[in-house]
Amino acid sequence: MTRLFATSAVAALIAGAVSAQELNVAVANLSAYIDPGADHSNVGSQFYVNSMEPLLFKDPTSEENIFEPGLATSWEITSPTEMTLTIREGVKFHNGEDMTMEDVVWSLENMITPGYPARIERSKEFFGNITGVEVVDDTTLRIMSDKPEPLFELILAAQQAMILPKDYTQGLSGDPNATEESDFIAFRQAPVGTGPYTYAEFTPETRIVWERFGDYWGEQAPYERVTVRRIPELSARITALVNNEVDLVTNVPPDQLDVINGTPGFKTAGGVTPLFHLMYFGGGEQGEIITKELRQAMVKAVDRDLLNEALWGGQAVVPNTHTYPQYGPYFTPDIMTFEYDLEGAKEIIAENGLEGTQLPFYTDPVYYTNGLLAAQAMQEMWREIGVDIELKVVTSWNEPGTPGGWGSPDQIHNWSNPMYFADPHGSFGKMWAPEGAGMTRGLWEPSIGMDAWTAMYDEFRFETDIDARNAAFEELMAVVKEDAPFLVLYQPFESWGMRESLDWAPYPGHIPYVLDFRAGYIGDAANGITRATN
Amino acid sequence: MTFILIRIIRAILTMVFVVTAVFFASRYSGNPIDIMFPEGLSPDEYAFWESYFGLDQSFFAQYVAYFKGLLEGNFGLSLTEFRPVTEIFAERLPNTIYLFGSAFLLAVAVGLPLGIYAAVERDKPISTAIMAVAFFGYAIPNYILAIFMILLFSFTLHWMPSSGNMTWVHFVMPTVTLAMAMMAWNIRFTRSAMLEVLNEDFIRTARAKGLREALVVNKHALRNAMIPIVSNLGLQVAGFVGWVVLVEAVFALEGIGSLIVRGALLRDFAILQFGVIVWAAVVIVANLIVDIIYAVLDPRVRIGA
Amino acid sequence: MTTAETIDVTTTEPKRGSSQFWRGIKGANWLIKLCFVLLAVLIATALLAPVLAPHDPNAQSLLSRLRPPIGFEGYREGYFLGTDELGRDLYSRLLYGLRFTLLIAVIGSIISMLIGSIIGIISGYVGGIVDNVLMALVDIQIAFPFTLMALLAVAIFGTDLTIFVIIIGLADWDKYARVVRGQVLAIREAPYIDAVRVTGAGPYRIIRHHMLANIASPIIVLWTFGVSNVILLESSLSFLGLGVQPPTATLGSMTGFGRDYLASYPHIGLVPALMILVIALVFLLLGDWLRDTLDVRLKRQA
Repeated sequence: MTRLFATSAVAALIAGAVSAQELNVAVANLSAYIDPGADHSNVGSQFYVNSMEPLLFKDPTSEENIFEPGLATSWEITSPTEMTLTIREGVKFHNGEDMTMEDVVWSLENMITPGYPARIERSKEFFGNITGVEVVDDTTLRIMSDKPEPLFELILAAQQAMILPKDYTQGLSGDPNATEESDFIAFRQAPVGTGPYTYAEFTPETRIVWERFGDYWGEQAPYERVTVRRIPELSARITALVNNEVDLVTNVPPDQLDVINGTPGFKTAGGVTPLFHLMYFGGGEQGEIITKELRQAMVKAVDRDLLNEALWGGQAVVPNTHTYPQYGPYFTPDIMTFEYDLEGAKEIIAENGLEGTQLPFYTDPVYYTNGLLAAQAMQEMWREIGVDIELKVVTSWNEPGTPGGWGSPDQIHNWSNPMYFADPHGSFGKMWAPEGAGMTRGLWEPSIGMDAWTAMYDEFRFETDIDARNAAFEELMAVVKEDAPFLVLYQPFESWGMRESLDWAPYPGHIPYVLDFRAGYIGDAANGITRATN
Repeated sequence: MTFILIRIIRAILTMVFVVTAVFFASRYSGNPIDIMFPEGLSPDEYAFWESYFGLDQSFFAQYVAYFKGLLEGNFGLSLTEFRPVTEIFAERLPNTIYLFGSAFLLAVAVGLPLGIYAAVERDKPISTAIMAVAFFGYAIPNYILAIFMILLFSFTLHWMPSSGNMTWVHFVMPTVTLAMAMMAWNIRFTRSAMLEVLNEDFIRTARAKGLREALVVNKHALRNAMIPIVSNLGLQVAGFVGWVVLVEAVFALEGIGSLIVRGALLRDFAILQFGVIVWAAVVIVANLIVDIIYAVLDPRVRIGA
Repeated sequence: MTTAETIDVTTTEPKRGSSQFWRGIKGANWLIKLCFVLLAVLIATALLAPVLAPHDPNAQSLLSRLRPPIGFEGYREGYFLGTDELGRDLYSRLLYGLRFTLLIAVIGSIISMLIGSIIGIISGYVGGIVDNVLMALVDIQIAFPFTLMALLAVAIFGTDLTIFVIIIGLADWDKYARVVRGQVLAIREAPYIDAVRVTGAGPYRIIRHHMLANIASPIIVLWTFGVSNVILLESSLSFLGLGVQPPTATLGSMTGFGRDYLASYPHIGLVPALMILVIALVFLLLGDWLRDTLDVRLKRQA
């Protein structure tokens, strides 16, 4: 009797934590900062859409690029290099101030020509072709590009183009009327946006608490409060779920799905993520240590289908080249860039006397789902062709130029190439365009020379004819195949575990890992919340 | 008096040394920028953050600046949370105190009586059972016990929350985990301390005089055994505070231990440095208390430097 | 060293020969005898791991991952403890894991013992400033959170086996130093040592022939406890992800990697965890028994 009482008392206490209108989420990784304009990480992507908004929304429920009014009520491409938008009125920031034209201009200008160094790279990747903004009248804004820009809408709907409060940010430090680096740095820990949830608490790497924003301009948030905690351990996350401590957990690998699905009252949902896990080989003057031939052999030696079968239960997608179905007419699945060919790999090794090469391979233990397992499996595959890999499990990417650091010439590292928007420029370009993240980190120097690569890339980037653009992309991929700077492994099959009454999964049009809890995008029978059907 | 002065000087030197070691070791081991940007930075961005955190200065210059701050009572700003580390520690300290305090009390309340019993009734089967528990409790790694409990009480039976520190219920399993090893240690130590005393001549004399066994045990043996037992408890604080790290990690409890681990993983130097200062202070004070107890309880003990 | 070689002084120190040790074992209870048998089996298994292991401990078989032990559905012939998350033979990994864990524990605790004993002897024998400095080192060691030290050391130096053993070896030395120093202090003032000194024996000879014999018993007892401490330490560090790099198996790292599968494939983590428990228990019980048998009092070593 006593025990029964104790048990139910404990159960009541636990249940108290998940009362109505509240959602508790356990994530594997939680960001160290909030700044949509500087961030492009998989971790960070999870935490923006609920609280911050761009001018245009991209309908996440559709794979196609369908745009809807966001903080702009309407827009028009007035010429190939010009776009005009009407700014929404009556929008409030979480600190109570109205969103004005001034905020919009300030936000965009700080992405187009950022004074804040942490945004320079994102600026080049997303706004490289955007030259400026111009106020036409109280509610009308014009955005100009250098070359004809076919991707205006995609760029303005990206996380990096979210609108932030000018006065609030400037007032965070130093001179309240000037935009200083220290303002942005302070903003990272005390973020404010216009979205349906406020950041009520943000403890880096530990916890985010979202609370319903009463003054939201659109449909009210379905939950009073959403608490996101970081539980890095997989088994601890799953236990917290089946023990009703949390309602939703992230990053459940395929071989654990049965544990959740086999527990009454719980289920998993997931899908193929628009993101590639990949390996890159060395960086900088990589030819010296990891020669082109060695790279080619190592690409050929990896049996990606076996990895998929063993680690993902065959549910991941192994692509032939760097392309996603979401690209629509620019989806080019037939280009053969990465091909398993063990004999070919062995021949290359033999011809070039590369047998017995030793290389370090750096990987984080948990950052990428199945990352360490895949690394250990590939270690065996490369041993097969006589390349000896020493696995280094690190919890950080070290300083550039030092052993194990970005761009050091003698290492292999796992990485990911997410689809930031549904165009080859939004994924391959984001990383491997001349201004792309992989290039600025010095991970690859194209053997045809940087100038030739830039010319080739621009030809593809600004081409408007579908066939011609795809042909240009194929040429780019031929260079990738020859140089083998990286190997695309697969699009992972990511899963989320949740209680039965929850109806949630990322939509096909979301960028990877977004935790979207806005009205219509999550259903919760226990709280009377319904999800829009797609 | 000189003895106390020497102790204080040694304590300060210890802290200075520990902080210095952590200061340089942590900087040689990496930096916060890499970890804050998990997918890397371009060289320009990298240079920006390096100069922002003052990490572009020489280690020595950083060290001088840090000690200047210390002398002014400034323990620095967290590199990840951009606020004073003292504030962050103040938020988390209560959790660690609850955890360690309740584990300590539990270990004493259970460990001492069982240890005494096992010594007095050393040949009874119950004593054997107690000692078996004591040995298992000490030999089973902390985290394995924690995992077993989580599997049983959270995953299977749904009686206990598995992680966090929201209510007192969340502290039950971490407390038991931490207390287990301490309790096992207490049983073993108390038993052998008691046995040692029970073998002394004056106990035999007391028995020979026909004193009742209960009186012998309570009045004579226990009183004498108390000196090593009490001082052992003090040492236990120093010896087991390290286990807090593991227990807080397994149960995702937001205390000082997990904060220090986070500081180390993120290379949040300010948190790390303040963390070891706090840690060393706790250990030093605990040791000091032991010595004082020794001196007070047993005047025969002369404490050398 | 030719001077005092012929001088032989009868001392009052107790002689404890190996015969007494054997008599001790014979008189021990069944539990201690069982511990000795287990110890012998563990050591033999660790030494013979390459012979006993049916498979290469690192050989993967990706399509046969996470197979259960013999007698369960899905068992794979020849892998009687099942396979792990990469399809490696759990039994073979267990044997090699035992080998590495014992290696780390024994060498690590010997390093601790050597460092600690040398510091303790010097500190106790020389005294004065040297003693103060060395004891200050002990203070520092105690005040320094070891987990943190290990974490930073691993980050700086990486984690190959050698470095890991050294890190482990630096964990425990303060205990030896304190006890040995106390013993040396006590012996230094003993009358028979004075007698030896009068005969003109140098410090080396005094330490070597007269003190070591006396401090040997506490060192042996401490070391036995030390091994079980170090095994727990190794497994805890590996659990926190600070152990030897994969694919090398230690019992601790096997438990650490196995914990992800505790809810679904518990055998991967439980088998090495039980093994750790057994080893720690054996050394702990033997240590306790040795302490009682050799009549060593280890006060003040928490």
